[in-house]
Amino acid sequence: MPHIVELDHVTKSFPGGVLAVNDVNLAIEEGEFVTLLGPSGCGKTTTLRMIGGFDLPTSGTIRLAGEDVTHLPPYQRQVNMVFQDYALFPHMTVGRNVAYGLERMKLPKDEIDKIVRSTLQQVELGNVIDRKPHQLSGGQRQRVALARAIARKPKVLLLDEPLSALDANLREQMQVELKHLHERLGLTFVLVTHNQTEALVMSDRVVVMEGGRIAQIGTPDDIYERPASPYIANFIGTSNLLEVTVGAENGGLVDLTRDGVSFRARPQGRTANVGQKLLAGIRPEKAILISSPSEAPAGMSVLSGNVREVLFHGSNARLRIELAGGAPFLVDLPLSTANARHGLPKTDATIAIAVHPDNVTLFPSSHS
Amino acid sequence: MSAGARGSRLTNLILAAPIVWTLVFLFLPYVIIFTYSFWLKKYPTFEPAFQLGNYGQIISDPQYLQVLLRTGKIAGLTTLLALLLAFPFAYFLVFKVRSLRLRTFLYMAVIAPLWVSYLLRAYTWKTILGSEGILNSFLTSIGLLSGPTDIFLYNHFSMVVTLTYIFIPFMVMPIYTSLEKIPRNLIEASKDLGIGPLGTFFKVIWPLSLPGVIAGGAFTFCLSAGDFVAPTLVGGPDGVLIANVIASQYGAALNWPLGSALGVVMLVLVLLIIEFADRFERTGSVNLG
Repeated sequence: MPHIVELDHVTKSFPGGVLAVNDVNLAIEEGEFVTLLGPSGCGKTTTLRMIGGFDLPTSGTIRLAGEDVTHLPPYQRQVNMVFQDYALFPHMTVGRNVAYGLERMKLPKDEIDKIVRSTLQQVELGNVIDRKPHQLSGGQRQRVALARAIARKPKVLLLDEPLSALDANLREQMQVELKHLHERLGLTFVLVTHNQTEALVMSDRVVVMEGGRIAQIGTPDDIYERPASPYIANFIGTSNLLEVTVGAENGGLVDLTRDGVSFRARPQGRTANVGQKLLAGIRPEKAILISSPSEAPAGMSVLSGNVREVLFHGSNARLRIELAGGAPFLVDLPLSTANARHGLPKTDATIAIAVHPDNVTLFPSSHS
Repeated sequence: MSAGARGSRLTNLILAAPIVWTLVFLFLPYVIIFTYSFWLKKYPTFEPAFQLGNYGQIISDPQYLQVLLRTGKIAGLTTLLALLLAFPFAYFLVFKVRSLRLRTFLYMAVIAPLWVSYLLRAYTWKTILGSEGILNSFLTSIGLLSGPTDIFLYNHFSMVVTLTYIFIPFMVMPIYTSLEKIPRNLIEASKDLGIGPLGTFFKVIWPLSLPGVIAGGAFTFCLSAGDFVAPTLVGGPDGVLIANVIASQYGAALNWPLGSALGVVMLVLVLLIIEFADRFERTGSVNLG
């Protein structure tokens, strides 16, 4: 069974020599929810537009369900797009917008009517069928755009930053709704976003893009827990990056040192030779506060440092610490009770933190 | 007197000047013409009265109705021809010309003649279409004509051509603007939904450009319906339009009351067209936000 979407060495350069997409290979399974994630200018939108047929690749092949569609215009591809600012036809009612793509499918009129109504029902918009787009709220327009795209039962649904124009609360709600809609419809979704939370919440697989290339493909868990590069570690969530020198290996763990600080890590398949300089990544929420170095749970490494600043984030507190030797380090502490805030260390206090070797990710150092 | 009071007096003076100007040179003439239209013609001049005889004459005398119909026909044909030329041109500029510099240049090439004397632009067509003109010499030289002909000039055809040339910028400008305002992603959305280029044109681009088409049509129709120069220069014996008749009532015929009544009729017709276009634009135009 061929993949539903296949990108084979796809490259796109724009006039003026901008290389937007650089030799991208990607295979998407039928029914998968895949997110292209990256900062603006990383080539994610151009990649999506090439799948939709709005941009033609400079080289490479695009296949939909095994069929080469590289040079087919958008109106001959069985994919539909939800546009970033919805692109609803302003001179048509909601109903006519949703029916727009069905009129070419040679269906009887009452059949079209039935599909329009049931599709609008699916996005909970059955009551606005006769309104014009400008009479709707942003969230409603978003749903109409969604209904219009899924009414045609495409093989693949493309979503170009569909939630970026919504306010924070609505965006969170729509993330969950989109995920549910995907489960209900069983369609293949390809979503583009620069929002890491969106990617982590909704996707089966995340494709992280950087500078026109794919930097990492993996499940949200893979991407977050085992980022392929320091760049990804800091683009998705936050990570403390420490330059370290590799010491002795002992029982699958390696010793890591930097002036005055030492801890251990499990290499998890990444090269760590004695004497090698590496970057060690530790997520702020993976470090725990302990009352004294001797209190460290078994198997965990202990780091100590001075508190420089305590930042209140609501659900957690972030400590800015200066480790012995001067390196900055962030620790996130959960605030699970109402009074937890009062138990936090004070500025300038010396504290000890513990890190489990499994929670240290090793990257090649940029200097070596 | 305080500085503030002096300042506000100055402001009043500055504001008063244009208002007085408008009253004296625009509003007052309308009142005068409207008043005259009820007066009686008494040879050799006319005297104040209040009667509807002048309007009655316009309705009952077929020659005035004929001129009005002819004016409508010429203005209508001019509007149609201007639309047929202006729409594809504006479409080409907005959707096909990629270079902004070339687009601006071509746009200005159409607009620039507005800075040339209006009389001169009308006169140009006399030299192109006349029996000694460029068109005749060309057709004779390639052997399509055995000798010069005057069929191109002094008829409705030459009037429509000349008026189209003169007023086409007023058609191009609003259509260009309305086409440019159409978000590109609407066109992409249409294609995404399986509709090809032709369907996309008729279902998305044309309806969304209608406000521009209506505005351009209203401009072109009203301007050519009131034109005086083209009929005089290239119109010929049966090319008299309403403006020429009004002029002759004020001049040779010395019948100001009838001329005024014709002017009022024309004014009302033009205002109706503008009102209609405006209403269409407001209800038919769509919120792109």
